[in-house]
Amino acid sequence: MNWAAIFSFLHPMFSVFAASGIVLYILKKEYAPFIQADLDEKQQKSGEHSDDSYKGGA
Amino acid sequence: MNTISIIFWIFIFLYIGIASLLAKYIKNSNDFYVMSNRGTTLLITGTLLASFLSSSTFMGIAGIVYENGPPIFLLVFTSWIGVVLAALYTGRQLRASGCKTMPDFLEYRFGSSVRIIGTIIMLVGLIGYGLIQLMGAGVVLTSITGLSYELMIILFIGVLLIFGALGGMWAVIVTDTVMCITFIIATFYIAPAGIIESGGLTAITETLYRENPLYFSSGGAVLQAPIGWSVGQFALWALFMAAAPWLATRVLPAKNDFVVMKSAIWSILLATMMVTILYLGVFAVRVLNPAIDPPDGVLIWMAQTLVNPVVGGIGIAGIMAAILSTTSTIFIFAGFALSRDLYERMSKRELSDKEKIGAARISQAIIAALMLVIALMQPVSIYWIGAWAGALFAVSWLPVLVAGFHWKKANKYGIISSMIGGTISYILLYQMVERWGTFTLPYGIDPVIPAVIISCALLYVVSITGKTEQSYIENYEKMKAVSLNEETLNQFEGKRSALVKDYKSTRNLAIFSSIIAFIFFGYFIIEVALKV
Repeated sequence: MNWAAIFSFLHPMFSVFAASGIVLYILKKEYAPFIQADLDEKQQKSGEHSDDSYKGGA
Repeated sequence: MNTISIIFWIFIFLYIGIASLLAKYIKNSNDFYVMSNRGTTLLITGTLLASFLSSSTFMGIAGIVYENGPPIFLLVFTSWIGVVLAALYTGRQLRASGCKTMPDFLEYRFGSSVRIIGTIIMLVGLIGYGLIQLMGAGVVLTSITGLSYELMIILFIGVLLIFGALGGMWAVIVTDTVMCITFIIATFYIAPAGIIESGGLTAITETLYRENPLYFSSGGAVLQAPIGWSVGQFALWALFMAAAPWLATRVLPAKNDFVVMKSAIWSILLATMMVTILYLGVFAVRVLNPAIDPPDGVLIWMAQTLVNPVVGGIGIAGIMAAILSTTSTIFIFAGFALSRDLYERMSKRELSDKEKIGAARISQAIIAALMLVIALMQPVSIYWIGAWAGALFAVSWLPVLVAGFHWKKANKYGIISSMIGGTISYILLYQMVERWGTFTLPYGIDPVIPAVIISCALLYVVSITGKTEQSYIENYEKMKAVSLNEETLNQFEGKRSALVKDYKSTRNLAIFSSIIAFIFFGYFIIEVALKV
């Protein structure tokens, strides 16, 4: 097994993984809470809306 | 006039034309320095890629790979991770601090004396690195185009001056992006053509491997460098790129954080794939012609011999673009350092915006004149400075930036000791090990590693023994109070659906790029690495 040859291709591959990993980490840590809050808000609104519809239907 | 000369002249006029068109966007100093933060993913990716892939990638290092085999540089081309760190770590931190240049940050955290020392070291490093690239490429292009070296240098610097002074950051970023198209053609068409014409990947795994198995060693068939050299180069490039001003500050013109993240992913994905294909291609052509002289011209030989003249011409244009784009970037940052970081800051009164643009343009002219004189005289000392230049950023800037971002107790005495001590220790170690042969370092490691350790040690010891001024502690606390996502979240205030859309597209790109990288490099591991 020629490790120099293998690492020649593993090295750039891991660099792309590292970039993607850092970006996913930043998204999760710094932006996901805001996205989640948005989703919760939407869900809440749609829940209220369906409640209203139900009441209206009755 | 041959085809190459025609392409050369087209390029010269293209650059001037683009710069003239973009000059109208320069209304204030913010436009000149950071494009008023209007950089899109396409533009920031283009400029990151163009700044990173220099003339060395397509000429000097391509020549080394042609003679030594692919692993020697595929292994140590660690600038990959350096570029990722420059954009996603250093660049984001600088953006959050509201800085337009790296010395801006030094001023904010440690005061004016630190800024002046940092700017001077940066100027020496930038000019040394830029000139070595320009002069080396000038010599090779002279032999190909038939133009004299002097005329080549005057033309290149003249063009750099015109578009740098007229269009500022706009010109650099837009031309970088345009030039990227030619790089991509040069690599994704000409390099595979080299592999196919040589007989496919078996030319690499059988013919050339049988000729000399050392082609697939980490130290190369001719250089036979020790493993410590590979480790040292790995560390040098990673540390150097993470603190290189033309990369770290390249994300400052970006519109927002999502643009920074997407550009970092695109540029690293494209750069790794391009360089891998390129180096396999230039190595494979040994089967067709093992005596290309100078070896630096291997890609030019491929462009002239293996593909049709139009594509070959675009490929050669790509090499010229690489020279111009890297030099232009370095050139404009040297001008910025002179105008914004030295002149504007030392001025006793606040300059008007018109005066700031004027100072920036005059600084570009001063840097152009200086580079012209040095490039024409070719003093021996410039080769020394060129050899030190990359490492100067690693030893004098990186520890300082990291301490500035994360260590409250770092004070100006520690920073100055680190910058000056790191620089001197690197230069002395380099001279003693590489030039004078006074002693050797264990396993052939690069002097940058002990020099970075010395720089960090000085920063720590002097900082903890000295007193940190209260105002700079307050600046640190102010800086830490600003979260890295604040600017972007403010931008998306009231536009929740746009925020969600950008979030999802960035996340999908991160996943997509990993899958592409896995397939692409996995293929070469199976078809090349496991067969030698």
